[in-house]
Amino acid sequence: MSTLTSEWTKLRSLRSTTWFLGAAVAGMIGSGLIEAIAASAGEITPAEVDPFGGALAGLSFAEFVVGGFAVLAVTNEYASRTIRGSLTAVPKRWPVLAGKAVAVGGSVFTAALLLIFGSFLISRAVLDSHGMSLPAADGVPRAMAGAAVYLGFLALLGTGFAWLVRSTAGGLAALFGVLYGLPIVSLLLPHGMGAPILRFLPQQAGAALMQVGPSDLLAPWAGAAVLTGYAAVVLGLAAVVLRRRDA
Amino acid sequence: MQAYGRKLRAMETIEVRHLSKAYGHHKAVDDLSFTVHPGRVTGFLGPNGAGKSTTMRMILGLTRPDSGDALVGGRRYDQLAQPLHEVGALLDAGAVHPRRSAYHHLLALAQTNGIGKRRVHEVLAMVGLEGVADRRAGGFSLGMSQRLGIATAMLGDPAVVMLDEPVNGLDPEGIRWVRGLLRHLAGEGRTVFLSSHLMSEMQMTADHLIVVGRGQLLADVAIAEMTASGSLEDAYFALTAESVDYPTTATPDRSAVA
Ligand SMILES: Nc1ncnc2c1ncn2[C@@H]1O[C@H](COP(=O)(O)OP(=O)(O)O)[C@@H](O)[C@H]1O
Ligand SMILES: [Mg+2]
Repeated sequence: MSTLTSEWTKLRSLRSTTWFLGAAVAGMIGSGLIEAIAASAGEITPAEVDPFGGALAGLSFAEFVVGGFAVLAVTNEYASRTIRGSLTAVPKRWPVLAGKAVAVGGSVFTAALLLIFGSFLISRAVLDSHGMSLPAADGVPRAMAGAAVYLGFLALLGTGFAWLVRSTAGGLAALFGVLYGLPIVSLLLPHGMGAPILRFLPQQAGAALMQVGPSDLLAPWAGAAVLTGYAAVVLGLAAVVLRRRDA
Repeated sequence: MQAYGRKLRAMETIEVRHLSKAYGHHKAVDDLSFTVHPGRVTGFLGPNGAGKSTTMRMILGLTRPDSGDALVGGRRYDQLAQPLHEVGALLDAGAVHPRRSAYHHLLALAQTNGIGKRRVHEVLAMVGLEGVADRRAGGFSLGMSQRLGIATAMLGDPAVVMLDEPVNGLDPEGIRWVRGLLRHLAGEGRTVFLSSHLMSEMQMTADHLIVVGRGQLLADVAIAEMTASGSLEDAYFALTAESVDYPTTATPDRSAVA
């Protein structure tokens, strides 16, 4: 608990946290409103607007903002050498890793939830004022909450990889290699061997949380379980390595 | 000098027992044993590369020894639940996030050990940094960074204070201040352990010396004993002559020119 407070102090005392939050606000709200504005201007028909009113349109952009934020939260300790002070204050080490994961993951999840639902409500109000309504679909609130869970998961994974490689470039490469590289690799496997694997990869398991309507993806709860598994494995491995390695 | 706030003090020693650490084939610390006692300033003296910093990192549990162990107050450092209350350390004054304020740097560390904001303000005042507490630490001069490092070490009002080359690069006024502070802390009964490769500094600050060279113990003596038969400088060079990494041929031979 005390390391969580400390990690939260570290985050809020850096201007860069504000910049990341600003980028996320601009990206999510900005791209979230494009569909509603286009529909109100008659550029697209209301039927072309997605059931989220565009609230998830900025998701790929958000992935990069979240990845950068999470990786840097760890690697800035190595770059500035404050890591030795942090581990001297908490020689068991794992509470530092856990505190950072909860502070980073929790703040990303909370911000994402507010931005996604905020973007959705604004979008709906804009359409409303033009006498249009969003196409109805089942599970829209669950899918939007699922997107926030997915971004929180990315934050956890980002801190985990960053502990393992201890460099910003390496952490980002590991995180986005896993997100964007693994699906490509799985499709290159011979005899369609990759197809059954694909659904279990992190980005596709994340998509499972956000699906509305039928798809090839896992069920939402199964997607959540898979993401939890990845986070547990990467953070667990990071805790072991952090414990063993000289600081 | 102002009071540093510690009321009830446990006397704690630092015990280093057969500590060894190699990097590749190079023995940075080689079967080193010594004890640092409370109530006096113990200097950790040796040429650059003698293994002083590595030993201090092992005492703090940052670097894992190949063999041997180090105990603080009878316990291994990583067994201390709130270590800042027992050991205050300054290893590297430059180790601050350049864009975080001095206050938040201290607060984040304080919170891990249940230390409150009041104590953060107290240590800032103690080292004379309260006026710049909200400035980014990246803009600090070397002297200010050293003061911030000492404030960090004092956060938990510890029984043991351990500083690695604390006066390196400080101006004379800063050196004098650190010296006074360390003497005062030892006078309060704390265990004060500081490393330096400068014997002149040690002569003015320390009561006792642990001298190392190439990772090995060369001497564990009172300053008075070491200076009994001449200057500390001569005694030190006699001890470490065999242990410097890049020995030079003594002094240029003038008779050859004459
Ligand atoms: N992390 C490390 N990796 C490799 N060699 C190291 C490392 N840390 C210290 N050394 C080596 O160990 C020896 C002792 O270094 P150090 O403890 O820093 O000495 P001192 O503090 O007395 O100057 C030196 O030869 C140094 O190069
Ligand atoms: Mg050193």
